[in-house]
Order: sequence, then structure tokens, then C-alpha cells
Amino acid sequence: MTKTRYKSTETKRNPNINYDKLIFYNKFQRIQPKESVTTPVLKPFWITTIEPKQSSQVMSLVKGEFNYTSETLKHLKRFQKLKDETTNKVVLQVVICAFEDISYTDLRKKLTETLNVDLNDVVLDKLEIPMNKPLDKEVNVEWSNKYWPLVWKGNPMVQELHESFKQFDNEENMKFIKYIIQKSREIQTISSTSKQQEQQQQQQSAGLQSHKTTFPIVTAFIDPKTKTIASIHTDSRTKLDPTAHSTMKCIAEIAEKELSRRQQSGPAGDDPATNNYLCLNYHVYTTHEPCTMCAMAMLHSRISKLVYVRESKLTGGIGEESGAGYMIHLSCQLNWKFESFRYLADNDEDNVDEVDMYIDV
Amino acid sequence: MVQDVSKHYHYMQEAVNVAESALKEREVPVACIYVHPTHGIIARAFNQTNVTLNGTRHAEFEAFRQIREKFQENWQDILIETDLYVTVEPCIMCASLLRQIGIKRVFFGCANERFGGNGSVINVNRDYPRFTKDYDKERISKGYCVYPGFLAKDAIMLLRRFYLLENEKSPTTIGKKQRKLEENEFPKLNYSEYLSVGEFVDMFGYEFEHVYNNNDFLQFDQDGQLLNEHPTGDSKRPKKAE
Ligand SMILES: [Zn+2]
Ligand SMILES: [Zn+2]
Repeated sequence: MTKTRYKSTETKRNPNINYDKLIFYNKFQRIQPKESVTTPVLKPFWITTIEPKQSSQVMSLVKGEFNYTSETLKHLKRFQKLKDETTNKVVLQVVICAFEDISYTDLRKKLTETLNVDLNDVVLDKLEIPMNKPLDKEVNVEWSNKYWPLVWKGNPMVQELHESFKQFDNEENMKFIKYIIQKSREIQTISSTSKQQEQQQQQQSAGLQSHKTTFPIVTAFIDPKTKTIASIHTDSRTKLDPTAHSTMKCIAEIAEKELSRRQQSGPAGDDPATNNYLCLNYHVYTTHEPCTMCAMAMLHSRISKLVYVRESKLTGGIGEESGAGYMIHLSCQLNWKFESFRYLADNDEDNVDEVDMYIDV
Repeated sequence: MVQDVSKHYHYMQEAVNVAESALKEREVPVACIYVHPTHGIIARAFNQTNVTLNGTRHAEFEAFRQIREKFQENWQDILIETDLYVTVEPCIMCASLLRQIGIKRVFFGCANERFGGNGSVINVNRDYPRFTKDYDKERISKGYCVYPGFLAKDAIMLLRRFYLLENEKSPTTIGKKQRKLEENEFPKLNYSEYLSVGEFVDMFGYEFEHVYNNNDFLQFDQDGQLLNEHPTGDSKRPKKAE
């Protein structure tokens, strides 16, 4: 498998997008599947060779009996023009159907009837054709020459990247990501001093165990309407409450605020037209890639964008190569999906501390 | 040894009863109970998403909170022996929670086609990291087995009744189509998405392997005994030696 390369001949190139690595402004990597485009998935098909004047007869056969193939073959051209070497006449090759769909004898018989020719005049070949669609125009040309002419309508992934870039406010992203990194670094300093104190205490009374854990994890939910922080929390899980992940706490706070707003403002305040619905279209900034539970909590809450700093290779639910590779933000696409980016830190000052790789962030 | 299936049937019946009470409070009728071998039913809850305006307050979370209040810091020792009975397949979020907190087994009614985390969309209960090879498997939360299909039709009917009630309030969408759907159409479970045939026969017995292979609904009598007859009619063929 080779990673996607978008070096192709797309007309409008945006200088702030790295098409190869899916990075905006050199800092934010969009998390999306990197599909293979250089290896064709080949499947055998029946190909017949005809004279140009027979094309309408063949098409009526294709449209009649083999109409079901139109969906699976829509990335292909149905006909291919060739020059017969010996007679120097133009001939047409036509894809009929998958090799496994019909036997040689049966198809030859059908073509004899359709074209109204002698059985021996029917030319029928088996040909391997790519079933997947290249994302790159150069590969498209290469496969078209090698296997069968493919249709090219522009790279669908490049179009998606441009669409995503349009929604991407770099200033907002930088502002909030810097803010949570700073907050995380403050926790680190606090926890390292309190750890020293703890160690001293433990030396004094050996065996006394503290369940308190402090991870330098910070999450902020941004209200899209005001572009301000609606809720910001750190991780505060304890042995008594293992669910106090920073994301879950933000979601809970936003719900509580909305509930009390509706209660306080009376019947007039509970208006479907102005009520806030969950965390609809919120932007979430977090220091560590969220676990599967939290990533799905974001999806349930209908956020529109997530940006995280450090990957959680074992327990993360977003990255293509994190955990079991769920990419939760794209896993329930028929119902909701959200954009996800990883912030690429320049150096340690621009980064947050690692946490134990086994914890669910 | 084949499990006592009727016990699971009765506990699911209890979960369905809890879901029934959710309907009265205009909550989405998805409910669960946690059952411990000696303490019995240790928690019961239904969805609280509407009343709290919080889309994550699913039944599994609500009941887990009760367990922590009850057993304090010992909840972990309790949960390791505890089974969950929930009317609808846990969503991805809850499936992940249940793994993080170390549930023993999960029994559910109908599939959660849109968000299911025990097989319908992904298998949070049994997957392991795929790309990082160098890790200690012992330190990753242990997976759990799931058993789908207990009272699946009851669970679906509750949801349909809820959406009918909601639609009656907004007079735009009282369609004949929806009424028609109510009668006798239930989507089949594809068992292999959720558990292996081995896990299935360990639970229900070899004589019911055909239920798994044909994706039939589990049919119970009033005592919670499985009734499904073999399609060839020889449902009373002798059990294989165990
Ligand atoms: Zn989490
Ligand atoms: Zn859930």
C-alpha cells in the first residue's frame, strides 16, 4: 500500500494546503483515510469486438440484459476504439459483464442473436479491469492505457480537502490550541510540585496511598455563535469516578448551563427556535487524542470540529492508526460526522506532556 | 455446559419493564439493569438524554453511577462479576465505557444499527490496537462477550411507540407508512456480527445452532425456555455429548 499523493494536475492549488500529507498551514493535519490509489483491484470481464455500425445493437443488449452492471462500471468507459492491425479498419471493444456472470457459450449465443451474425464471427475475450478508482489523474491515464479507459472527473478527495479548508479558521485554531497547551503546562508544573510533596509525605507515612491522579489533559468546547469558550475542563478521574474525562465534563457542563438557562428564563426561554441543541457545531480543542468513549460522546453531542495535540496510539479513537483504527468522527457518517485535525507541534515548548499510553484519555 | 437461558430472559424482561417506565416520562425507552451473582439487581436506569439535555446520559452511564454510589471504591470488584442487560445494543460510547470499567458480559435486545458498538458499527468489546504492536496486552482493558436478541421485538416496539408519541405532538408526520411498519416487520439480527457460533452454542446449546446460522429470532415460552424448532422439524434430536 502506498500513501495517497495529490501531486496531480488539479487546476486550482492552494499554497496553504499540503496535499500530500493533508496538512493546512503547516500545522494542522486533517485526519482522513489515506486510501491506496496505486494498486488496481482487478476483476475479469467479458469484452466483445464489433464494427462501429453494430454499436447500437450491442448497447440494446447491454441496456436490456446487463443493465445491472452500469452502477459498478460507472468509472469506466463502455466502449474503446481500436485499429485492426491487419485490415487497418476501426473497431470497437465493448465491456459486457463480469466473467463470472455468464458462460462463454451462453454469451456467444446471445451476441449471435443480437448482432445477427454467424457464431464464428463473434469475438469474445476475457480482460482484467480495475474496479477501484484512482484519486490521481496520472494514475488514471496509466491504468487507462494499461487496462481499460477510465473516466476522470477530478479528484474527489481534493475537492473534499478544499471544502474542509474553506471552513478552517486558522486564527481561531491557533488561538485556542495555544491556550489549552498553556493550561496543560500549568497543570504539569502544579502536579510535579505536588508529586514532590506527596513523595515526602509517603516517606513520612509509608503505605498511605493516594488515589488522586493528575493528568495534564485539557479540553475546551467553543461555542460557534460567540467564538468563546463555553466550557473548559481538565481530567479529574479518581478511583471513585473513572468517567471524569475532560470531554465528558465539558459536555455535562454545557448541558447543565442550558438547562438552568431554560429554567430561569421561564416559558419564554424555552423556545425551540432559540434553544441550544446539545453541542451542535461546537469546536473542540483538546491536548490529547480522546478515547473511543469520549470521541463518540462528541459525535452524540453533534460537534463539527475536533483539534488535538498529542496522539494516543493505543487508546485513541480518532487517528487512522490509533487504537483499532476506528476514526470515530467518520464511523457513523449516515447520522453525523465531524472534522478532525492533529496539531503538529514544532518543539517541546509548543507541546504537551505525554500521558501513560495505556490510559483512555 | 449450557447456560440457564431462562434466567437471562427474566432479567431482560425486567430491563424492558424499566424501559416501559421511560415512555411515561417522555424519555427514549432504552433501559438497562446490572446484575451481580450474589447481590442480584444492583442498578436499573433508563436514558436521561431528553430531561438533562445531555446526549451522553445513556442508561448504561446512569446505572453505573448508582453502582458507584452504592459500593463506593469497591465498585470495581463488583463489576468484574456483573452482567449487563440492556434493551438496545450499547452505542460505541457505552460499549467503550463498559470495557473501561470491566463489565463481565452484556445481554441485549435489538441491534443499534446507527451507533452500535458491539458489532453493528464496530466491535469495541473485542478489538485490540491494530497498528502499535509493541505493547503489553495485559494492560489493555479486557474485552467482553455480548449476547444479542433477548426480547428484541419488545425492545423495537418500545422505540416505535416512543416515536409515534413524539410524532403525534408534531402533526406533520402521521404517516400510514409508519403505522404499516409497526405490524410485523422486524429487522433480522445477523448474529455473526456480534458473537461467534462457539459463543452462541455455549450459551444456548448445540441444538440451537440453526438459530445462529439462519439468523432467526430467539423465541421463548413463558418460562423463558428457548422454543425455536429446527427448520427440518427434528427439533427434538438428541443433544450432542458435552
Ligand atoms: Zn475519554
Ligand atoms: Zn450509549
